[in-house]
Parts: sequence; C-alpha cells; structure tokens
Amino acid sequence: MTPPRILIVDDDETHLACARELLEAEGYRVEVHLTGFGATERMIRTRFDLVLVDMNMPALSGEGLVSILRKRVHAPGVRMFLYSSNDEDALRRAASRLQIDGYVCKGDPEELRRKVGRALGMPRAGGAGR
Amino acid sequence: MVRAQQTPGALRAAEPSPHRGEVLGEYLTGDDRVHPEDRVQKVAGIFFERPDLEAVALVREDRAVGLLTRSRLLVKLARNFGHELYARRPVTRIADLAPLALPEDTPLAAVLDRALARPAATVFDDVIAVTDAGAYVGHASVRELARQQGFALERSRLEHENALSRTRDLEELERVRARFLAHATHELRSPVSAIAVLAELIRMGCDRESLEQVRTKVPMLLRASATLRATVNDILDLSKLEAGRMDVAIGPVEVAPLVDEVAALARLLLGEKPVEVRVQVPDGLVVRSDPGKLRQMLVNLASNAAKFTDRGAITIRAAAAGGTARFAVADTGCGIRAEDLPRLFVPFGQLEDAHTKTHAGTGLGLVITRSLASLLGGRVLVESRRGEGTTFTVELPGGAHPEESP
Repeated sequence: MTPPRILIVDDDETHLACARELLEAEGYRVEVHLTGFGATERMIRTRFDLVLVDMNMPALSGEGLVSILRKRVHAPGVRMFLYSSNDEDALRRAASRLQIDGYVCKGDPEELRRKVGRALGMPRAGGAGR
Repeated sequence: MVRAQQTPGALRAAEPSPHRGEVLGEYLTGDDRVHPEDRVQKVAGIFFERPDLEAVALVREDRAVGLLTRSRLLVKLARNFGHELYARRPVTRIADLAPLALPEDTPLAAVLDRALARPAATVFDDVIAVTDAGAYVGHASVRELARQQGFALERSRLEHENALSRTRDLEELERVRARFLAHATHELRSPVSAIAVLAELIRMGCDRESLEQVRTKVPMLLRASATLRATVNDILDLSKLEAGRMDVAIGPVEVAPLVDEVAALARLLLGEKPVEVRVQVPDGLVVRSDPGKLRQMLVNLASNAAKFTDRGAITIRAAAAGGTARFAVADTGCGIRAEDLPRLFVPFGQLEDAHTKTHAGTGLGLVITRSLASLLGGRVLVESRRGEGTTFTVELPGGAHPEESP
C-alpha cells in the first residue's frame, strides 16, 4: 500500500522543513511548496491526499489560495487543512468559512500527527519519534 | 391661537443640553423699568427717545407688576382718541399687568415652552426674569430667546457630531489595536511554534541517536530564538514607549565610533550582497543625546536599509548645525511608492508584496524609531523613490558640543 501524499504550502522555510520532517517520520510522502503561487498547478499534476496551507503568505494568502483550489482543482478526495500560527479561534472560523476539513495550529507536533492521521485514516503506530 | 408653536419637539430635544448658562438670566435683553404710577405720556417719551427699546417693566419696590411693550403702547395710542384717553393716565392702564415672570435660572427651553404657550396677542412679549425672592432682574425678548435656542441646538448638533467623530476615532483605534494584536500574536507565535517543533525534532533525533538530525536543527533553532527575542524586545519597547515609561539619559555622544559600529552591523547583515557601506561623519563630532536610543534608531534604519538594498550603497551620514543633529541613512534599495509612505510608521505595516515580505523583520522598527525620536524631542523624515532608494533622516535637538568632547 502506497503511503498517503501530503503537500505543505508555506512561505516560512523553517516551518516547512519542520512539518515535512515530522510527517515523513509518520510514514507519509511529503512535498513542499514555498508560495501560494504555483500550488494549484502542482495539485493538478499530482494527486495529493491532504494539503496543509499556511494562512499568512505574501501576495496570495492561505485563504485566497484555498478558495482558488476549491474552484479550480476538481479533486474530490483531497482534504485541506489550514496550518498556521494564528489564533485558534481565527483558524477555526476561517476553516468553517472556507468549508474545508479543518485546521492545525503550528507548534503542537502531537496535534499535527493526530489530526493528519485521523484525516488520512492512518492508524497511529505507537508513540512519536520513529 | 398659535398653540402649534407651543412645544416644538426640536426645542424639547435640546433641553438636556450640557451647556452651562443656558438659563433665562443669561439672555436678558434689558432691565428698563418705570414706576406703575408714571404717566403713559412719560413712558411713551422714553420709547420714542430709544428706538431700540422693546419693552419696559413696571416695577414697584423691586417687584415687577406689569410689562409694557412698544407694540402694545403703539396700538393703544394709535387708536382713535388713544392719546387723549391714556396720555395722562398711569401706565398701568395700558400695560399687561399679568406678564410672564420666571425665575432667572429657568432653563432656556422651559422659558420658551412657557412663553410660546401664551395667547397669540402676547406670545412674543418679553419674559420677565425675577430672583428666587421675586425681585425684578430684567426682561428678555422671546425672539432673542428663540434665536439663542437655535444656537444651542446648533451647538448640541455640533457636539453630537464631535461625539460621533470621537466614536469613529475610537473605533478606528480599536481596529488598529485589533490588527496590532492579530499581527503581534502571529509574529510571536510563529517563532515559538518553530522552536517547539524543532525541540521535538531534536528529541526524535536524540532517540534515534542521529547526530545529523540534531545538527541540522540547531541553526534553525538559533534563528527562531533570535527572531522571537527581537520581536519580544520590539513589542516591549513599543509598549514602554506608548506607556511613557521609557527613561531618557542625555549625555555627550561621540558620533564617529557609534556610526562605525552601526555600519559594521549593516555590512554583516548585507552578507554577500554587492552593497558598499559608507560613513560620512565630521571628525570629533559630539552631540548631546541619549546614546542608547540613538544607537537603537540608527541600528533600525541601517538594518532596514541592508534588508531592502540588493546592490549599490548604503551611506550613513551625521552632521550638526544650529542646535540640531541630523543622522541620515541613505540606500539605493527598492524604494517606497509615494502611496505607501503613510503606512511606513504603522506597526507591522511592512509593505507586504511578494518581494518585500521575503525580508525578515518585526515590522516594528520604524514605529519604534519614530517614537524614540519624538521621545528625544526630534523627528524622523523619509524621502524615497520607487526603484531608486530611500533616505531616512533623524533630526534631534542637541547639536554639536565640541567642548564636551570626552
């Protein structure tokens, strides 16, 4: 069984590298994209199971990107999460406004593992740190 | 009857006006008095001599016992045989012996209510003002009172508008605060998040005994800590400045070593970029200022210049003349569009297009620099042209003091 594919879109390289490493350690195949621009093309080319989108990106915000993805990319199986350092309330509201699958607050590795695992139906194989 | 005028809603509405002095006593138009026994002829003489006189009160031992208006006098005398009938009679024969008399501290609106409630024949007769003890003080023209009431309404409308505009200002301030909070939250939480996740990754690396995994995280951890430290410092500085808690310690400042230090920092920040850093400071220049604050301002301006300049030069100049010290940081960077200049000094206003946001920074540096300059009694000026470069100038009082050269 091929592992689920995840795309992370974030303009912050540190956050990008961290999230990638955390999720790869969980056994996912992870790709990253450094700006809102071009993410759409990437999603059309590759079928991802989950996309994590940062909220605060220059020129094309996460919200803007998600609405474009919703319109342009006909990928029914793709789940989308907002992934941001913003206030949790703001994230929750934005996710529900955009009618996407949810959000993950940056800075909580366990929450990232749990929410991603649940969304992709991956059984948690024991504790972290594999 | 003109009772329709009796209590117009608009007049009522002005009643709770906060203005002091909007009482009858403040709007008296005269305190002319005659004795009740005075002959009509004599009183008529007074009116003819004083064309501006509208009314006199009939006063006996301080008490107003009647009111005679010019129009009433004219009507009586103009009648057939009016003059013959009344000229030698006491004025009480033609005066209104039950005039409207009100305490002098009656509010304007209440006075008008009472005055305009009178029958049509007397509706515009003057109102008599009396003391609490009932003594005559003077009389006031109803037309004048109505005019004053109009002014009061106008004032209260203006006050209302001022209050509205204050509310709007407060709302705008509230919006700015909310935006500041949202930005500050993000700017603080972002490096904290990175540090937390990096710590977790380092823990995982340790579990695996993978030195390589740990080694790659350490520089990122240091960067995130430095970012967090800078943001926390900036936010605390700004809070201190806004609360007026920033201490100032003025003393002689040797400018050249300070500017050299700032220039060295700029070179460090520029790294490999082909940008020359130049310093232009007169030999032995000493100014009176707060050395720490001056350094902070120059560091902010120079690191901004280093961030936004990819080629060319950054020039740091200092000069003093006429009691004013000027420090300028000029760059050949990307410049700022005229329409963006007002946003420069807005917290977190870093002009976020795809290009500029690639530059790190809290977006508080210029706000702090401007606050520091005004704390020291000076100001920050900016000149910029998109694509050509930007010059920031800090002007401070406390020009050259060569005699205090340490």
